Order: sequence, then C-alpha cells, then structure tokens
Amino acid sequence: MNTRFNEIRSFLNQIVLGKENQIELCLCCLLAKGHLLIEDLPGMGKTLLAHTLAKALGLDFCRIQFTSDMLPADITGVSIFETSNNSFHFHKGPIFSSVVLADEINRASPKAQSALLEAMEERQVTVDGETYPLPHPFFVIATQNPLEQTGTFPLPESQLDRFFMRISIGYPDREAERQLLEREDRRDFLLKSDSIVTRNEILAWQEEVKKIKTEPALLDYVQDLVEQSRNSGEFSNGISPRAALDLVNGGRAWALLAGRHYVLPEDIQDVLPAVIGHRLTMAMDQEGQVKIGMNPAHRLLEITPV
Amino acid sequence: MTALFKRFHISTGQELQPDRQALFSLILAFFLSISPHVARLPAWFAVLAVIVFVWRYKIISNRVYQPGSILRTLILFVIMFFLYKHYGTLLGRDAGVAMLIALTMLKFLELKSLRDYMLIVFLCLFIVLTSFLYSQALWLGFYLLAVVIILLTVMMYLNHGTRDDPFGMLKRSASMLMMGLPVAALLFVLFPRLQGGLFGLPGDSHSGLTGMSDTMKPGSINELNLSEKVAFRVDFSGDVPVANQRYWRGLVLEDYEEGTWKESRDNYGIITDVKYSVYDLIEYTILQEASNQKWVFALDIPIFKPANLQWGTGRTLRSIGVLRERQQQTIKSANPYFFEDMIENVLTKNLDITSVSGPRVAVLADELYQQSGSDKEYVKTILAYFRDNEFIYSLQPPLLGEHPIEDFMLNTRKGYCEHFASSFTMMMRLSGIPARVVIGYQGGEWNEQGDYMIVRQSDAHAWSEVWLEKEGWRRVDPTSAVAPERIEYGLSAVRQLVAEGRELGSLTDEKLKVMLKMSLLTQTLRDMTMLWDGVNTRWYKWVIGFGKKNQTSMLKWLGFKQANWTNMIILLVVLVSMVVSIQAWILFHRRKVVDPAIRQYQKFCHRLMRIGITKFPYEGPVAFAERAVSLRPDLKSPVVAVTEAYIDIKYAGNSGTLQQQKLVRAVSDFKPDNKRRVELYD
Repeated sequence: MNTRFNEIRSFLNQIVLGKENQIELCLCCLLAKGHLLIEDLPGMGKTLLAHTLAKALGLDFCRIQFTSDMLPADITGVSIFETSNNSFHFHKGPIFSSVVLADEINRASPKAQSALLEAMEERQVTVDGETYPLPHPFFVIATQNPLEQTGTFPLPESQLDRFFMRISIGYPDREAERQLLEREDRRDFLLKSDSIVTRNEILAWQEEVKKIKTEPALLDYVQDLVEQSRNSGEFSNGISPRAALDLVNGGRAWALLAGRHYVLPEDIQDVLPAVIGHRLTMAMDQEGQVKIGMNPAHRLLEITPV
Repeated sequence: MTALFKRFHISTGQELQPDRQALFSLILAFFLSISPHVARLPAWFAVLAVIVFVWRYKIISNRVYQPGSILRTLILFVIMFFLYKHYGTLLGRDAGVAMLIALTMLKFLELKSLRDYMLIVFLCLFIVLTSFLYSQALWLGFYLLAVVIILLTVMMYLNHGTRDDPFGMLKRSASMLMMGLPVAALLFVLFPRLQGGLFGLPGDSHSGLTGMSDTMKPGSINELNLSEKVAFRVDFSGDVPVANQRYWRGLVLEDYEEGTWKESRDNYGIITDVKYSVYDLIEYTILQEASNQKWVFALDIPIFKPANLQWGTGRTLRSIGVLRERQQQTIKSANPYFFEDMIENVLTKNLDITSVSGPRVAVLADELYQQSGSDKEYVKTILAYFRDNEFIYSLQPPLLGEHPIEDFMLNTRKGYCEHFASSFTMMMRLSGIPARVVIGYQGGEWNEQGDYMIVRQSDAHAWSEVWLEKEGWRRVDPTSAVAPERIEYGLSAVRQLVAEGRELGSLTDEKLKVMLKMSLLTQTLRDMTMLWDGVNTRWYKWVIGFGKKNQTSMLKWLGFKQANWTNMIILLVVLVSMVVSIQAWILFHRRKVVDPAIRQYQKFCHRLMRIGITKFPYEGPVAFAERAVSLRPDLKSPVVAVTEAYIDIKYAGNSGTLQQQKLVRAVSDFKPDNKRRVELYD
C-alpha cells in the first residue's frame, strides 16, 4: 500500500511543484471521504491540483465554474421531455462525477451554493421526486478567492462546517518556481499520462481508514482539544461534534498515509490546522478586538497538553 | 524511527504582552495594597497618583509619550525632594514606606514588558508587609491576606494570560496560599525571637493616647469617662470578685494643692508590709493597653508582682518603662488586707491640710467629729452626711468657686467621684485622721464570649483611703453613699437612669435589674461586639504576644530543654523541610498516574530534562523524540527504542506484559550522560 501511495505522491509532485504538504492533505481528505475547500488567489494552481488528483486516481473529473446567475439545475441536472418516447428523461448535471471542482463557489447565489452543499452532504441528488445516487468515490474540491469580495456571497459558518478541510496553496518557493518556468506545459504532460490507481483501490483504502486504531489515550487527547476550544474562553465558539469526528477521521487517514495502523497525537496535530482552521475563531478581547496574527488552530494546540 | 512528514510550525511560548485588563487589575491591586497606608501619606500623594495614572491612561489610549530615562530621573528627584521636605529624612519607617509607595507608583509609568508588571506585584507584596509595622490588628491581617490572594491572582493572570474565569483563579491562588500555611506556622512558632514584642517598633508610633494622668483635678476623670476605649482586660484564674470589690488601684495621691491632687514624690517606693490570708489571694492576668504612662493597674491590693514591675507610692504598681505597647502581667492580690505600720513621713503627708481654704468647712468638720466621738464613727457620719443632705451624683457638676472643698460641701453639693473622694479625704484630714485619694478604675464588664473582664476608660474612678488605728488603711468609697448604682452597675447604668429622670439610689435591686435589662437587639449587638473583642484578645495573646517567654516555655513543654538560637534554627530547618517534602509528595502523588507506561515515559522525559531537553506539554511523543534526536544525535537509538515501545503500548493498542517489559527495559537502559548538556532548546 505504501508503495502505491508513494507512486501517487511522486506523480502529483511532478506536476504540482513544491506543495508536498497540500498534496498530502488532499489525499488525506479524499481517503477520509471528506470534501476540500481551497482558499487562495487566482492562478495558484487550484484547478491543476484538482485535475491532477483526478487523473492520478483514474477518476472522472468535472469542473463547475460558479457564477452569480447559476441555478441549482445547472449543477444537479434537469429532466427534459423527450418527444421520441413521450416521457421525461433526466439529464445528469456536472455533479455526477467522482471529482468535482467547484470553482469560485462564493460567486454563486446562496441557492446554487446550497444545492452543491446538499449533494455533498447527502451524496445523492433528488430531482422531481426521483433520487439519483452520486458516484463512489465522490470528492468535491471547492475554491474561493479570499480577497475579492465584491459581488460574492461568502459561505456562512454553517456551510463552511460541511467542508472537511480548508487549505491554501500559497506561492511556490523559488526552486519550484524555477522548475515551473523551465519545464514543458504541465497540462500537456497531464494529458499524456495514465492513471496510477483504480477506483476500486481507492474505495478499498477508504474502507481501510475505518480500521485504523484510535486508542483511549488518543481519544483523550482529542477530547482535551475539544474541551479546551470550548472552555478556555479564548475562542468565540468551540469545536462541534462533527468537527471532532472529522478530526479523528482525518487523523486516521493521515496515519494510513504514513503507513501506520494506529493514530498518534502528532497525526491529529498535523491535520488539525486544516480540519479546524475554518471552524474556529479567536474570541474578542475586552476592547472588542480579535487578536490579530494568532492562528486559532495553533493556539489551540499550544494550550492543550498531550 | 519512521520518517514522519513535515509538520506545521507550532509557535512556542513567546513572551506574552500583558493586555489592558492586566494593567487595570494591577492598578486595582496596587490601591488595595496601599489602602492601609493612605491616611498616613502626605496629601500631595493624591496629586501624584492622579498625574501618574492619568498619564498611564493616556499612554495606553492615545499613545502619549512614555517618559524616557532622563525625565524619570528628574521626577524621582522631585519626589525625593518633597519627601525630604515632608519627613525631614528619607530613612525610617514613615519616610521609607512613603518612598516605597511613591516609587512603585512611578514604576507604572515605565511599564513595558511582563517583567515590569511582575516587579510591581512584588513591590505590592512588600508594601503589604509594611502595613504590619503600624498595626497588627486581626482585621488588618484578614484584609491583607485577601490582598495577597488578589496579588497572586494578578500574578497568575500575568503569567498565563488566559482568560480563565477570575473566581477560578482566585480559588487557585487562595489554595496556593493555604499550602504555605504550615510552613508559616512553623516559622511563627520556631523562629528565634528577640526580647520584647513581635516587632521592635520605633517610638513615634504611640502618641495621643488617652489615659489616666498622675494628677486629679475636677474634670480630669470625667473627661476619661466619656471614652469607651478599653483600658485593660483581665483574665482571672479563680473566682471573679463581685462588682463592689473590683477596685483597680492605679495611683495614690497624697499632695493637695488648690483643688488638685498629686502623687507625692517624697513617699515614692516606700513598701509597707501587709498582712493577708492565703485563702484570699486572687491570681489574675492583666492585659493592659498602651497608655504612654508607667502605671500598671492591679486589683486592690496587690501582694505579689512580676519581677519587671516596681512598687510605686502606697502599694501601687509601676512598669519600668513607659507602656508603648500592650503588656501582659500576672499579679496576685488579696482583700481583705491589713497594714500594720505607718511611717512618720507618710503620716504627716496624709494629715497635711495647709492648702484647704475656707473657714466654714473646718467648722463643719469639727461639728461632725463632735457628734461621732470616734474615728470610725466619724467616717460613717460623713457618709451619712453625704446621703442625707441631698448630695447629687452628677456628670455635669457646677463649677466650684474659690474654696472648692467648702463650696462643694456647703453650696453646690453636686459632683461625681472626684468631688466626693476629694472632699471626703479632706474632711478626714481636717479632723486629724490620715487620709488619701486613690485613683484607678472600678467595676468592669464581663465578657462571656471570652471569659475575661473588660475595663474601659469610662470605668475610671476615684475613692479614698483612711488610716484607722488598729485597722490600718481602709478603703472608703464616698461615691457609693450617693450613687450605689455607679459601683454595682457602672457608669452606663447611671447615665441611663439619669436620662430616664430617676433619682439615684431610689430603686430596689430587683427594679433596677428589670430597668437595665437590654432589649434583644442591644443584647445581640453587645454579644457580637464581645465576641469580636474576644477573638481579638485571643489573637493578641496567642499570636502577637507570642514572645520569647512563651516560645521558651512552649519548647520546654515540648521537651526541648535548651532552646537557643542554633537549636531552634536546626529544628526549624528540619521541620520545614519535612513539611515541604510531605507537601511535595502529596502533590506529586495527586498527579501521579496509575498507568505504568506513562510513569515509565515520565521517567524517560525526566532523564532528558536533566540533560537540558525538556518536553513541552503540547508535544507528542514522536515530535519530542525527533527534537531530542536532532539535539543529541548520539542518543538516537535509545530514544527511538523508548518512544517506539511507549507508542506501541499507548497508541497501537499492544499493551501486553511483553510490551510493558520492553518499555521498562528500554527506559532503564536509557542513561544519557550529563556532560554534554544541551543549553539551547531550539
């Protein structure tokens, strides 16, 4: 299994340069059956990352560019009356793919956003009373631009909570950037490449994640983290039970990726900033100011003893 | 060790910048600490405080210029100048405390880092201590204890910076303080004392005390009677004498001059033998308040005195030095008593009538003596004369004229104990019977809450002594002839009766008792006052008054024959270290985890700590091992062995005996050499 993971890693790292950590988190998110939110500026390689992931895993890929005039049907699909056999026929929308890239999700109206988020949660789509299951695995990568907020509908906290992880890609370092400038177009390379693993392998790995051991000592640590986030008074609201569950599952997937059959506190610490970062905010101090420059996830780790 | 992935950087304990709340709580704690001193400080301190704190406020709100070192030095010199002008010195208790407070206040102007904040907390703790240089009262102790708890809480807040709920932090600092209690108790009991009180206080602390003076003229006792202040408290070892026998002898006045009685210098220190029955001896301990005088009051008449007291005129007691602090004396008195001999000098002195003026009073004395026939009868006649001739016991007597004795005996007939004692004594002398005035206290209030007697300034009293052939000095209290209530029930009863318009001496005992019965509210109030007084008295006796003598006797009782400095210090060190180790043991075992794997791992962490690698609380085992190996690559294999064994048990779920043994072995094999200590953690 480890060798397979390494193959995927080396393939992805060949195309998305210098972003080992983000790639690892992406894989972790996929194995934990979560959905990913990438928050970054345009042109940082969000789409490329999603595309590469789909290619490497041999999954079908679809990209939805969110706009403000988008309707839910544009995502889920629509039933059309066909004169040939005098009946309605459901035309599946772009969401019926294993890897869905929801680009600039905050541009769409809340109505369209919630259609996507509902599908993410339920893993099925219901149109005209008919329920259509979504493919397995089903992995949504949503992106949003954190800076340009004009004419957007930022995701409310309740919808942010639906995402398993939030990461940002960030600029490549100097060495990676040089490679990027020197080498041939990575998209061409991507088209030429073959997939590395099969859909069934991924499904098997997802089952494998469930078997990773979490011992009482580890669960104690997770509960300590949850308690600290709720009771220390440093955060405006604590970690939700769903987030706590995601944290444990993320730790499991992370342990599997490291080739271990049990979760260490370090696994939790490694995934925590991505899993908790978008669900935790620092509390205001006496002057009504949020402490600037303090990452809530890091602060939480710092104040919780292992 | 399996290669682990790159980790997110976790920021490590950078220094916290105290926030605005920290500043405000520190200012509050500062004011609480100095509050017992406030009344003693010069008035311009208020101005200084306003300037400093407004400036401080401007610094945080408007980013006003924070004073630089030159300006700060300048301010310092200005304050020193004013302090010098006010106190005339910069040394000593008062000026020293004022300077400490002023400089602490100035420190607020240069607050920058956590260190400055902590420094102020420590200065405040020191200021708290200086309050005890002025008073060691019980309530102050409680108040300052609370202030110390608040200061500790502020310290905790500064160090942790977490917004814990304040009550939780208060509770924690209080429990921390409680842990220091056993050591404090040991230090209190065993720390070698200097001779004298708990604190050697400078002499300027006791001025303006009220108390008896060595002269008696009309009005001097009445002035005292207005004060409800305690003169002394008495603890009886046996039975308590009844009210009309409780005459507390202070001074014997033999010189009379123009209405003023004075102590005679000539007869000072003459001791005459007294006969008494051993069965009449009463032993008691008197706890006298500071009076700035030398007189020590004793029940009529003192027989045995402690070695540190002297005899004054007419068997009264004197302390060697002025009573600047409370003092405790154990005295034995006896009543009845019998003086056998009379010294010639004393006799002449007590017959001196040279300054008695007025012709009519001598005639009156002659007439009355003729009627009675003997000396003893004459005493009774005079008392009867007071009783039958509408003499009135009054707290607002009219002024006496040119011949005070005559004026009182024949005209005004209104007065209180001084007038009666003075006139009675002179009437005796006019008829050739030696007589003198005794002043002191009479009566006292029993405190059921502490089983001791409180004698107040309002119990101040004057009476007479006459020398009768074959009987020696006899105490005669002319006031009792006019106002028996004063003797039996005290001055407050007299005041109450006068306020209700009753004639003194007109009521029977039963009626009086009914009249003087207190309402439930007054009774409760009195009980509470008495309880508080009792607690305070015990506090003084057992804590403040715990001097060298008590210490030595207590150590003897405990079996230490030679309680000298060295022995006590050794005992102290041994006991304190014992207490601290017991506390440490308890603390350690409270946190001790039963899980043997964690115990082994803690042992491992402890060994790494000794070579300078400390595990951060938020660090997981693998992260810690990685860091340890990066700091000491030579220890890689044992560190990895221990960590792997530990993880195997705790996180991989293999907690069998085999794994446990493996961990125990790995930990016991792990013995890092101390020579290459790692000095830098990161």
